Amino acid sequence: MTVPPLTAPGRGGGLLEVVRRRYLLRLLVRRELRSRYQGSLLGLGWSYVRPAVSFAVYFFVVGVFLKMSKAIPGYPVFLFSGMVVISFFTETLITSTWSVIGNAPLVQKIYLPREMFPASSALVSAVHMLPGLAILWIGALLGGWTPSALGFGSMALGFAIVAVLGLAVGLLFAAINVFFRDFGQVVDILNIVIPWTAPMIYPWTAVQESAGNGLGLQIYLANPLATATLLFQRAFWWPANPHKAELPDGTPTFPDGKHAFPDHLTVRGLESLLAAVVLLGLAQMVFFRLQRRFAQEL
Amino acid sequence: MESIVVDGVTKRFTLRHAHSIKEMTVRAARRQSLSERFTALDEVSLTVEQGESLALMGLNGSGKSTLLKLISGVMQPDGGSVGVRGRVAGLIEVGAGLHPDLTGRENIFLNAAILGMSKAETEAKYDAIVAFSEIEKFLDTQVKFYSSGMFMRLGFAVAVHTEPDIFLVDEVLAVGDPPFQKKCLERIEELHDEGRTLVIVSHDMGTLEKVCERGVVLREGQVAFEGDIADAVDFLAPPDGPLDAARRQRAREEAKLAAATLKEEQAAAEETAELIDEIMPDASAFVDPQATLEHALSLAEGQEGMALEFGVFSGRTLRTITAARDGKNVFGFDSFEGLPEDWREGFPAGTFAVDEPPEVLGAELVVGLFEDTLPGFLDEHPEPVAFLHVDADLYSSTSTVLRHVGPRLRPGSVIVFDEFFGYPGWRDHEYRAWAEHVEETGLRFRYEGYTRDNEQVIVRITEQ
Repeated sequence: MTVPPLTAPGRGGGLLEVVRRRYLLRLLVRRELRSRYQGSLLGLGWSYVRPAVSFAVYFFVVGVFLKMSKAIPGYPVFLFSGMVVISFFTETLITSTWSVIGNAPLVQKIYLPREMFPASSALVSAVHMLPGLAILWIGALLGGWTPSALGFGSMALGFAIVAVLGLAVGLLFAAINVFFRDFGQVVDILNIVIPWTAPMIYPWTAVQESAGNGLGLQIYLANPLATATLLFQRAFWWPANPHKAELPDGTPTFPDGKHAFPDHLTVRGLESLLAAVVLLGLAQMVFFRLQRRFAQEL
Repeated sequence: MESIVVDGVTKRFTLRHAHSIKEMTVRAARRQSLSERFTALDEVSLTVEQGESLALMGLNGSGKSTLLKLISGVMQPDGGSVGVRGRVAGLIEVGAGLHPDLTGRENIFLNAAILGMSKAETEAKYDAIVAFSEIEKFLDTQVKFYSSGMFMRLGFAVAVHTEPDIFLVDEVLAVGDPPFQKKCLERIEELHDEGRTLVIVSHDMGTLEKVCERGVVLREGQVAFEGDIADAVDFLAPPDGPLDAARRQRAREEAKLAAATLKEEQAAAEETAELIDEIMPDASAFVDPQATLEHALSLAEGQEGMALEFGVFSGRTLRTITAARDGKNVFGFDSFEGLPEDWREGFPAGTFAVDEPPEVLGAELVVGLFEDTLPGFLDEHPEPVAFLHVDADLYSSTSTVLRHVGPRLRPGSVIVFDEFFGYPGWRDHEYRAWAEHVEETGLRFRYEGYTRDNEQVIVRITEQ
């Protein structure tokens, strides 16, 4: 028998440790899914009622009354592409913020890599995203969507950005929420703002019109969520767009002739992903330091 | 080899008065302090050796539980260091990982995973966990419908089957009904016997003295005493005067003796089981001594000759023999003055003495020491011996009986030894006398049966 070395207890390897104990992670995700839907009348349906209602509101108010449908052909798919991404992010944010507090008995009594809890929240949100994606895809198919490497690549990149970013912010918020219990309010407010920070309801060109091509627009586009939304639009909405307008060189445009996507969207996406990964590293460091005091703060 | 090293550990707690941004702002505006600090552990050092069981003792608030949490990794020290070797698990809070919406079965897997077990490990232990928890019937019921006792048993069952290298127990033994507590304690002792390191926090001194070897007493976050568990108990709760001290001393000696006896008895039972496998693998096992005796008598049915019993005492077995032999040719030998010399622990010379020999209708009693009465008796009764019940207990008496009666045994004769094996020291008495007799005479025989978890053996003489 090999003799294990003396090690300091409770100094887990952070997210790496979570990956190592993925069997536990899987059980935690299953527990979360099970407990959320058992005993509620609509079951899994509830988490789709909210996006469905928002979708209806945006579609009728913005799309029909404010005539956005005119400016953007295939507006329902356009709108829904963005909503799938944004609700994945906001749900991750809300659930991970409460994930550590919600597991207080465990955190106080048994040592687990605490990253486990935000990570499982993010995974649960990802699972929730699947039916939305399926509906989006069916909608796109009805609009004439055809598979393409660019489409799949855009979707994968957009998803990766939101997943990494969601986990990073989720880690930070979960830790902060342990120390300030009313931080949840801040998150609620953030969630009102977030859907409007990305070109989900309106085209990105609306910002361009107001802010010009200067710094304002660059700040707006630097938001990884905006990039992810645009990537999802490129993956689902553009290929399903019945009235594709293109410049002679193939650049997608809106009917008014403006570019449907900012230039170099793929590069922007890769940059966003890189930024999200860096943020995740930072978030992990902060979380790791703060988690040492979780048990006594709860 | 040390298993846990706690080196100069200090732990301070910050009692924060503000738990929200709002409260913080309000308190800051009023210039009130935002937090207070107090020291829960102050430069505590201790080492626990591999396989040792250590009691952490002290009054409430002395820092025991904090130290346990530092060892388990739930909390981190502010100063000093903690080192552990291998996997740490514990009964720090039973059922912390149980989820009310999941069924008992799902919770077993989840809780085991939380405690660090893999799927395969859990599956291997699953049956043992279920048996231990005693909730077989409710495995597919959601845990929220469990009673608090069932809830706790489930949590405990998972925790004690995790097989960690270091096992931490925090005051959980105080809950649960007495039979379950006993079971848990036995399981903890089992873990200890397997060479795992135990650290136990409890206010129950009796339990601690039973399970632990060493005690550390904490007082206001510092080690106030460290040493033998009995001394640690006396340090924390000094005896009320010399009478109490003497009582404790006596209780400890008794407990030590009881533990030693138990160990001997277990060893005897194990050796007996080995012997049964080795020399009488085909013999039948009977549930009690009476069943063994009756089977032996049925084997001897139709065998011509006398039936002799050595060691009559109250005459109960002699009556059984007389009934089976139709009251013909049945003799009981005893001095009725008890054992002529010391036998095993608890049976000194003189045990089994009776005031008056019992009346056994149809049997003749031969009163006196075997070596005095047997030669004359055998001269007067030249018949063979069909049935021999040896309840002489001692080596010397058994040896005497076999030496004199041996030549009268015929093929088909049956012997029942009443204390053949199964007790501490069995190799020195009836067993030894029989083994020596067989060695000397070359007698051929078969072991026909024995009493399960008891001491009786049936032998039947075969063709020479």
